[in-house]
Amino acid sequence: MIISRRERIVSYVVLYAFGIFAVFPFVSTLLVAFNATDASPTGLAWPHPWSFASFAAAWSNEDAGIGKSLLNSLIVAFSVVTVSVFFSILTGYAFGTMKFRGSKVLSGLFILGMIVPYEATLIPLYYQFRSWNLLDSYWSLILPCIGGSMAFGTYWITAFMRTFPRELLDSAKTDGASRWQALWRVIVPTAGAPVFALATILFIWTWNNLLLAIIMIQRPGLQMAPAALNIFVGRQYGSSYQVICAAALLVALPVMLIYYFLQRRYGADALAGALKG
Amino acid sequence: MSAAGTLRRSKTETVDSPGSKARGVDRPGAMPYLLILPGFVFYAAFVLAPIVGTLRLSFVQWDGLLPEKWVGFANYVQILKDPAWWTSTTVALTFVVFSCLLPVAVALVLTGIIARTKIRGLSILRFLYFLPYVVALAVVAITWRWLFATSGTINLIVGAIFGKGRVVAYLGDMNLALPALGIVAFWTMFGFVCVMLLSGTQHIPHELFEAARMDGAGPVREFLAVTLPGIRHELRVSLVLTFILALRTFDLPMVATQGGPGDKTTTPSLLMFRDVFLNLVIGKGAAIAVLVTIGIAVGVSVINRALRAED
Repeated sequence: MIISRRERIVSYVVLYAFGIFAVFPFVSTLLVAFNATDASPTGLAWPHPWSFASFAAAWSNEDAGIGKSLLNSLIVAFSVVTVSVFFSILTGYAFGTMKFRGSKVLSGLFILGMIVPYEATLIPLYYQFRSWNLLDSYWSLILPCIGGSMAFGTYWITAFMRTFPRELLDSAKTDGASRWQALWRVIVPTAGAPVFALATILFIWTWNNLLLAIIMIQRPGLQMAPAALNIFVGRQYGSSYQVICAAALLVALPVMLIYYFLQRRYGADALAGALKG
Repeated sequence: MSAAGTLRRSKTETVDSPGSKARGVDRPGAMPYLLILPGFVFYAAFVLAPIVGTLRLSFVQWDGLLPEKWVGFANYVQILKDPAWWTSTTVALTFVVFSCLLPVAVALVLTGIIARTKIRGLSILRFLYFLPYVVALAVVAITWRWLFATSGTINLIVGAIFGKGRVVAYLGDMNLALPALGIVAFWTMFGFVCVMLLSGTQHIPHELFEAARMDGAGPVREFLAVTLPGIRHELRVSLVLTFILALRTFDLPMVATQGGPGDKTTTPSLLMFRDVFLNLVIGKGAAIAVLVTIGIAVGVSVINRALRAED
């Protein structure tokens, strides 16, 4: 390395300064949330004593039902991810390994969904689900989120299928495996990284979705986690920051954990690479 | 799977393409269509059809109950005459600066540094940088509402250094609320862009950096000559993605400021949400959604053209 000592020091300072900038808000929130519910937190000092009371209060608060909303979000996100990943494997297999008439037009239609913002679909979706009497149900989120995930899922799995070694596929075929068997016995077992990355991204998108969740679901017990958080903030404006911060952390935790495990296993690039297009 | 087997046998009925005929490779027949069908049904029902529906609704007057009335372009004319719309477009453009241009600029600098130096703890840095993007914007909004609160962390620090007189309710201030939210938007995006650009630098051969150094290139020349050309694709994609997210900004003002104070932080998406679900002027809301979509399409094609032209 020909880099001078001084430049090296400046580099480290800049990079770690931004690292601190990135985590500081979380740390501050954490320090606030671990205060007792009647303390006046600063977010700069260790809470004393450390207390889980604010988390307990946020979890069981009747107005927001953060605890229940986490379960709701988990059910919806899990359903969306399972179905979308399965369907994406099928569409990606078709677009990535087969030649057929109309494939250009069809894949173009799927790509359209990555450019048009989902805000442009919300209004008709709402009235459609109202006419089906499905507002205030998990379906009103699961079905649109599966539809919305198909554009990216198809794109992502297609890209993986295109890079899959032809010879392996061909040898599977000479073994007499049908295309269907080749997909599940030859391709999918090697697709751990891309499939897991896709599942993580779709989970994060579904979990974090606020707009759709507040439009489709009004009934208190059925709220998704970010929507419940929004209501909680609206009702408690300014009163007890530690409880609000605790609620926010509860909502953030599942996604943080999943992201942590993904990048432990596949590196931070797994997500970025996926989002690159 | 017997269904798949049946499909395979029907291949002889399809039109042969000359190349595959010679080798006797089996053709997929109806199989790709059946594979695409389930995903496409959901996609068509819950994405394509609603897009068409929004376009149609933007030409009608409707309150959600009474029969619709066709009004042509009246909704669009009404929006373009509405000062609230123009306020929201300036808010949206501010977000383009804060959650698209600034993050990309900063991420370029950080990427340049990382590409040049062997940094210890790079994987930890990447994890930290990316974390704000992963977490729900509703959570982000709350975290920063606390930081910006009058009793919050930033004011505690400011108060300790400059005296209590400098304590400001940032998110309630007519002039500061929007830039304050802009900083939050920047915070959520810079690491995301940085990680994306970094994945591009990994394809740059290490000899290029060495060659640049042999030629006596300084950090800036090296960045312009080696790093930047190597990450052009990632740069274009991250500009496109952050631009789309900037124009769609909704969660952050919704949870942090409700679009206030006044309508200082009201974005087009927030305006649409209010028109449709609170004011029940659905046609107008749909027209806003169409205008935002057009704005995104125009912006994306400008970015693509600008960065492709250089290739």
